[in-house]
Amino acid sequence: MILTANDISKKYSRKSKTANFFYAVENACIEIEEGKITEIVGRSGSGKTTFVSMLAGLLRPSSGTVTFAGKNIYELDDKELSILRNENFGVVPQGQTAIDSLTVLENVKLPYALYKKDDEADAYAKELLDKVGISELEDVYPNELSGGEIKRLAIARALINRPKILFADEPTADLDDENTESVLKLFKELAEEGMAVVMITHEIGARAYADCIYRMSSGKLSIESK
Amino acid sequence: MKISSLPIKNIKKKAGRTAALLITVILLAVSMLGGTLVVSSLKDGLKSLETRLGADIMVVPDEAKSKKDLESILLDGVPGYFYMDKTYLSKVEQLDGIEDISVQYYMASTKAGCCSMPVQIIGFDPESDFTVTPWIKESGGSDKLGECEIVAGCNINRDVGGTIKFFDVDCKVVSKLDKTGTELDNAVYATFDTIKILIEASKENSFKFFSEQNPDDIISSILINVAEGYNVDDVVGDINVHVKGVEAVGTKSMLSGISDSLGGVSSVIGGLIAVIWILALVILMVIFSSMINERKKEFAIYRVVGMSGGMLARLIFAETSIVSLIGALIGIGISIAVVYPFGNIIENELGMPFLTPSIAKMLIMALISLVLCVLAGALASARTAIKLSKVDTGLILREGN
Repeated sequence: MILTANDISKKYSRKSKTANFFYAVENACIEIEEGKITEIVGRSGSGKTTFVSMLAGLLRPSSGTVTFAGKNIYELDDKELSILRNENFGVVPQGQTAIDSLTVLENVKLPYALYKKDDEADAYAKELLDKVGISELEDVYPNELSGGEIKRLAIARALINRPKILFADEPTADLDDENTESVLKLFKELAEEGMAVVMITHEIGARAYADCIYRMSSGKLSIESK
Repeated sequence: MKISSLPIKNIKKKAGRTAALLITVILLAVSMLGGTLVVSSLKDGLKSLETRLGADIMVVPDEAKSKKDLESILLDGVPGYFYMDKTYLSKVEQLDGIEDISVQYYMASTKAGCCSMPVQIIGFDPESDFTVTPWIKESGGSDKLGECEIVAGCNINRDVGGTIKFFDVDCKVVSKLDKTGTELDNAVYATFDTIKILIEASKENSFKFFSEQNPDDIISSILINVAEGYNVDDVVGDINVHVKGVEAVGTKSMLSGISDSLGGVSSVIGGLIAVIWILALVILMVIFSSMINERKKEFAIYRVVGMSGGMLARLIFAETSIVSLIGALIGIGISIAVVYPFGNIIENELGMPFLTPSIAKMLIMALISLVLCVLAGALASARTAIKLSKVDTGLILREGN
């Protein structure tokens, strides 16, 4: 297991007739394995994004632990956790997440440039842009891109540091069938090379690529197939 | 792309946002440095006028017009003249408490063809003078003036060695005085011998008035320094009681009117600076706060890709500081470009002596303004930047979506 979540919950305060809080995620456990694609499905608002954010070191759980390479990541200080995330986790967030002031190529190289000299990443960034099918747009700014192109930019950016785990929140949401297929194939290739892929999706076709599927329902995680 | 270039890229890409911030910081810098330069120049001008008058007491003819004319000469730069009998000098001299005493003779040139320019001509006696001579020495000139030789105030448009024509007499400029920021900068100084030559020449140019005023018998003012142990007001009172036909005025009390006005002007400018700063700081905070809200998702992305909270706060600080620095430099440039070249216009509009600070003093003021403006920008963004860097990225992403 490369990453384990043990009994993690996220509680938010919200006044209702019965309580002053609610659980977005409640006592969820998961084990993420290298070389496998883990798919998380569920209805909108069921807690999938909150759950994956906690796994990716982006949201501190109200309780429970997330362990990566034997360390509870939330015991690290902010700087240590940021470096760990930068070096080991690739994240494709939901929605449009390009930095407007950077070109496509600069956006892709950004995670690498944070802690290293970015020119070393030039060739790999271009290779990734080629893999996601937007290599001709490397000098273009995000305001000239379509939603699907921005999504593919985010995928390339998540892969630039050759992460051990890729967390992708609806990575095919803005893509047409052809691009959806090529992104899913890319994820499969990455998993075959040893990367752990955690993917939230509503894409029915994605099931064929998943090694295991979890369902999130009202904050409760259950295994659907393995 | 180096990560250090990220703030510049963000600033360049969002021109509208940057312009709004720049304008606010420019306003801060102009109000701070411009206002401070004006107040400081007025204070220095008044101090300079006190120094250059160089006497504790001035005695002028006892006519309301004489005192008014004296103030016009000193403060408004209107060339003028008034006269009294020289016998008053010996009457005043006899009184107690007088350390130094000297006389001056005022004459005015005209716009007419016989004169190069209309200026105040002040005749003094180098033997007894204690006000003009030290000033000439301080300015590095020689106090040995020959016939038709003059010392020019710094605003007189002639260099040393040049000549100025008064009543068709060519007068050679032998020294130029340092700037005082007062109307005395627009005057020329000559010995009584030169004054006599000019009076004679004015007669030939149909200026009969001056020809009737011979400095051997007539003077314009008596300047007095009070001896140690004597009170200026007491000596003023003594002169006014015992010498009829003249009015003695303590220079400090003569300048107190200006000093009061200066206090008023300083308070108004100080108040304005404070109001502009409070408003600008509130505006800056609102702009930063809305800017950071608008950029929440962008900041969350930086965190997602591995930027630490500290790095994010530094990025926001760097952007703010760069914009504040550029704004402050532009504001400082505008302030200097307005206050220095237009000092004379400001002086005339306010009717007060106006001595712009030296380059060194101005640079210190500019540096302080620069630091304060950059600090103001950083402070205005600090609260939101620090708060944002501590919030869980997942929460910001959730809000952003």
